[in-house]
Amino acid sequence: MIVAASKPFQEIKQMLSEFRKICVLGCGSCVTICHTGGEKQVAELAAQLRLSAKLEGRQIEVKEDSTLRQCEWEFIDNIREVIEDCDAVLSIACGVGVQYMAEKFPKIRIFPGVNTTFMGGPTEQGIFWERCAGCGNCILATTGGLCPVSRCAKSLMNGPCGGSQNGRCEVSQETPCVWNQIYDQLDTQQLLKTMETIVPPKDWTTGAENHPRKMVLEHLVVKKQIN
Amino acid sequence: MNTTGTKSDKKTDEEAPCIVACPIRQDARDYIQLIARRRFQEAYQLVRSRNPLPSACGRICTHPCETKCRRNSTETPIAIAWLKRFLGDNFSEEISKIPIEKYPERIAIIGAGPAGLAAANDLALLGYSCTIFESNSTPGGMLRMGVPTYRLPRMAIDNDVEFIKKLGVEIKYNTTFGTDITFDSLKKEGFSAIFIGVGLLESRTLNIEGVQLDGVIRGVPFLHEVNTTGRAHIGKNVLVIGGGAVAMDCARTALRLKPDKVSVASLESRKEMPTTDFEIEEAVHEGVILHNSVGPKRILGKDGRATGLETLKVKYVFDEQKRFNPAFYDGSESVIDADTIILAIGQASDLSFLKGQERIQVTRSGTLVVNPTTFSTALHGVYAGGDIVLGRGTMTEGMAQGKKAALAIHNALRNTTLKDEKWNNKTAVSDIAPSRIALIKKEQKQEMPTMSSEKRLDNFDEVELGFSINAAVKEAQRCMNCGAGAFVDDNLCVGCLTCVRICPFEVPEIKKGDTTAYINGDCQSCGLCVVECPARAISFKTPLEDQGKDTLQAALQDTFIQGVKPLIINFYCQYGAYNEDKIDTINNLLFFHVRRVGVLGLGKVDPSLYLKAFELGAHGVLVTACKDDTCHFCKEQEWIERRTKFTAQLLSGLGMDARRFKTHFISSQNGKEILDIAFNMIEELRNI
Amino acid sequence: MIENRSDIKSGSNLEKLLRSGKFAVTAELGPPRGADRSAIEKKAKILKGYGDAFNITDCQTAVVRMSSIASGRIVLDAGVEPIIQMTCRDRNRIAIQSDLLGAAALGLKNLLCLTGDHQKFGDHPMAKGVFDIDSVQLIQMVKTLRDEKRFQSGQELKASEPKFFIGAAENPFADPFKFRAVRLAKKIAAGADFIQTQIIYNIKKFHEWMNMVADMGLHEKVFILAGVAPLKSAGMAKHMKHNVPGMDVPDEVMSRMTAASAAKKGKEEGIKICLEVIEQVREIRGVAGVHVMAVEWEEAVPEIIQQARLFPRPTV
Repeated sequence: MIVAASKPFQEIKQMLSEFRKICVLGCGSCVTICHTGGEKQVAELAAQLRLSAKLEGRQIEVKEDSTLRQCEWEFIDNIREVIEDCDAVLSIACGVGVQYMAEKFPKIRIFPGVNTTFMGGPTEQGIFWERCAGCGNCILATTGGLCPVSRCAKSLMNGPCGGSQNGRCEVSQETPCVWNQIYDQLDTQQLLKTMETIVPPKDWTTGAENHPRKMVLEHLVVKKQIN
Repeated sequence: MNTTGTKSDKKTDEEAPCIVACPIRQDARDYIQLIARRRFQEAYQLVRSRNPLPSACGRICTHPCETKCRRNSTETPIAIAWLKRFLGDNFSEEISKIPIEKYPERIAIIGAGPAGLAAANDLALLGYSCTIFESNSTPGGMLRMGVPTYRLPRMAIDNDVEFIKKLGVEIKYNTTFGTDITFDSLKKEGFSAIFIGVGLLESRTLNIEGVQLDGVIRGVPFLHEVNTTGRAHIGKNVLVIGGGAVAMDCARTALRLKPDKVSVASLESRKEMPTTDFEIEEAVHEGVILHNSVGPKRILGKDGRATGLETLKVKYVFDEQKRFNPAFYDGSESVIDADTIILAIGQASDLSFLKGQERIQVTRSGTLVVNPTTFSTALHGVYAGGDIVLGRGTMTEGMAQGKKAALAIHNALRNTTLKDEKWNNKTAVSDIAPSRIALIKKEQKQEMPTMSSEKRLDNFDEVELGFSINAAVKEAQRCMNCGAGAFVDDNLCVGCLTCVRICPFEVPEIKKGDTTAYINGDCQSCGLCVVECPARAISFKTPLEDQGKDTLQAALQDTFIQGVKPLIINFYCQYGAYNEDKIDTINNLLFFHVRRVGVLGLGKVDPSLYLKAFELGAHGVLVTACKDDTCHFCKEQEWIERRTKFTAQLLSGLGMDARRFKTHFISSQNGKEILDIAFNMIEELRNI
Repeated sequence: MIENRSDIKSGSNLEKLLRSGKFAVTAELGPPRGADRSAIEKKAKILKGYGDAFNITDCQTAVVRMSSIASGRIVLDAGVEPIIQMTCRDRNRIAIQSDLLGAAALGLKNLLCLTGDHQKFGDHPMAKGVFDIDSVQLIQMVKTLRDEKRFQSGQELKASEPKFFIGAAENPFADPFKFRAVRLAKKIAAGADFIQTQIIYNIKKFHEWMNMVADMGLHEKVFILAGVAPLKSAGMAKHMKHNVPGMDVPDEVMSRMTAASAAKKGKEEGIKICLEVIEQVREIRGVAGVHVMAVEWEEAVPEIIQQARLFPRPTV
């Protein structure tokens, strides 16, 4: 899933300082699961905004709403009335959702309430780790199912580097060295030979360096415009 | 049961075992939860809305609810009946307006026992004019005739009956059905329906040699006499024959008349005796001698007076088909000396009122045959319930029949199909998973204060003295809120697993094949998941749990607080605050500056609520939570710490002085410690 | 001596010495954090004659310094042979190849290929790290340029190829330990001609690694220069042990440095330990030279080389 981190409230406050009628808009998918963009956070942020305005002696109206996925035209169209009644929207969806909102409602100021950080998942309650870099050219088949592109600080293809010690990465002691993990995994699978082969420079054509990327599923394309 | 509904429907179809077990479906869990929140008046109203005789019921009910209580798994059941008695004794409801008699039909009720009173109560509330015809000069039926005053003070009956009369029910005493009034006379008087709840007035007797001797008396008339006059003619050596509740009552009543000795001869073994352990224990405790597994062969006598009972040893009481069919060992005769022998072997019906009436059918054991759902007899417009239908039933079973008949009478007269949802068959929440028992904190049952045994036997005063407010609240707080805890809305749940991971009792799960979480009846209602759910998909089933929201709103809507500065909202844990006297002290001392928002466990308070308090005008927020060692839910401190820390950071980010938001973990939510904290905070806020 | 070891690739002094079987000495020369060439010249003057070639670091620990290639040319002008360094942190494959063509045109012949320290450790931690390729791929790319006259993309070079004596680093003390010799083999297969190891304090473990290397016959395919460095104080030893990734400082070294530091003789003891290490690694089969890393303490190098009886340096 897409993991996003809450923006510091001071930054949010600053962005919204000139607006009187604000909607805090949650997204019911990835960011709900990572506890930064769900209905709970909507309520929390709205409460903060209201209290903050009260303390500064400003009058504001803060609405609270949420939709299943802000990255779908239809789902954000469902809340059109609420949105168009506001001066500004604080979208706490990932960057995708924020942009969908901005495109759908060009007259309304849409602000991001979270920092979209990575694709990953919770490894334990409250702890999320990056797991995929969206490189568009998956090599997991040769690395024991563990991704060095997203999980090695230097995205090494021929790791581990000399900074791998006690299973940890030199860049951060709390980060496991993924190449050490790959080594152990391949050892378990009796595939250590794989690591003797030099992996050639990766083809990044499909990666983030070539954005914006696009995917077309010819068999599903319909003529009808959905936006 | 609704089996075609959605998954969510099925989940809510579970009911607390205490409620399912109750013949009248008393909302035991909910009134207990109200007591736990110190909302006594509402608790009383809830009890009364289902139960026309709460004071009496809280004393003599056989409380099947407690038998089924899931606290049996952790230590001992909640004292459900005693809590009801607490409400009945200490609270009442002013009937502000007598229910309007909406309908012209008048209903005749025969017998002012539990069944008749229940039927009259419910019919009056439905809008009918009811008249009860009672052969005795006082109401209560078997409650008054058979139950000794030391178990059921007559005030308890009178209070309950007075309430029913206020609903507009008329009671005509000294009016015997079959002689003073008849089916025909009632019809002539214009009654549209008749409910027969005459009970079992005849005491059974034994078909053995010597029963006609002087000194052989019958149980219920004996009790009735003592209950009414405080006296009865007995000898020095009393023997009660029988093993049930009436036998125990006879024995304990006899003791209070100061004979030399009171014994009981029971067919059944100690374990088989058809009454509660508690009553047997009390009887023995007071000095009654028990002879178990002995059957009466004949009553011995001299000069026309009874001198003793010859008994046989019992081989078995129930045969292989579990039918009552006692067998004895030949030649096992022995004698129990007695100059007074009380027969307490059950009651039988007196059906003389049926004279000339052939349509109403009668069973072989002398009870009336009724339709099991409507309680109508074969005679049009005539209904029956209580012991005359049940044979030997309990008070609540009798009331249940009265209530069901009342509804059936209404439906018949109005040609409607009004239903009482409470009678729906709901599945009881199943037993606590064994692995979970250790995770649930053991909470000791409150002792019932009783009169010392030296004092008891001099009088017929009530032995059990009733709970104090403190004890009642503490006892109620043991309740696990079965079947009314957290609930996941399938439509909102995103399957994030937060609840699954954080529940201290490991209740939520996402079952194989499911995409949403499911919280079963083992939920302890701590509310951690309700607050942490990012999708706000979890809520409490019970409407009684507001998580502090309504309480906060109410506290800040008080016009009196306008201009109070500083005004502090104190969120506190009600589990740690049970001491009545101290709570009053605190409220009085701090009333001007501090408003208290009590919640059953602060783990269910959303941090947003702390912000809300400021938003609504508080100058300071004080959170006082219990330490882990006293936490009802065992480990909420960690969560409360995190949330308050988070809130404090937020507030400081908004530029708020750190002194305005304080969190303290203290052992008790009352007493000097909390006073000091609050006073210090008031002083600090004054200086800002 | 097998064929590819005698086949001259770059014609550098270092290469020739090693191929002739002489015990080589390299040392480090850090470029300045400014545009002043005299700082380099000063260091070159100190070091001249005390080593066969000198590593010019490429923004070591991700701190901005004068470029390795530019500095290398200045060093060369000062009459000293440089080993330029190239990391993958700051340049993609286009920039790397471009700079290497330039370096070769400037007459630079020794090249150490590294992935590079992560930008997080440097003076611009907010910078975007490139890491288009890794060190193994870099080695392979340089070898392809040199031996196949092709760019990494496969296209042919239009003019003469850059002829580098290709170096690589290896850390015998990193994990997984068993993989370390295998990784060395990968670098050799990619095209490494010489190896400079991580600083050695734990001789026992280095020996163990060299045994694995020798068992695989790798010491015959590549010249291994054992990394050594004089410690200045107990504080530096502590820093090396705990804060420098992939560094193995045994307790014995720690206690010697602690005692010496207490007696204000830290530098002397540090040099003494360094000399002991040099003495011991020389005895290990397959060690073709030493690489002295006296970071910002270039003055120590002449003393060490002299005391280790590695002075004067031979010529070929």
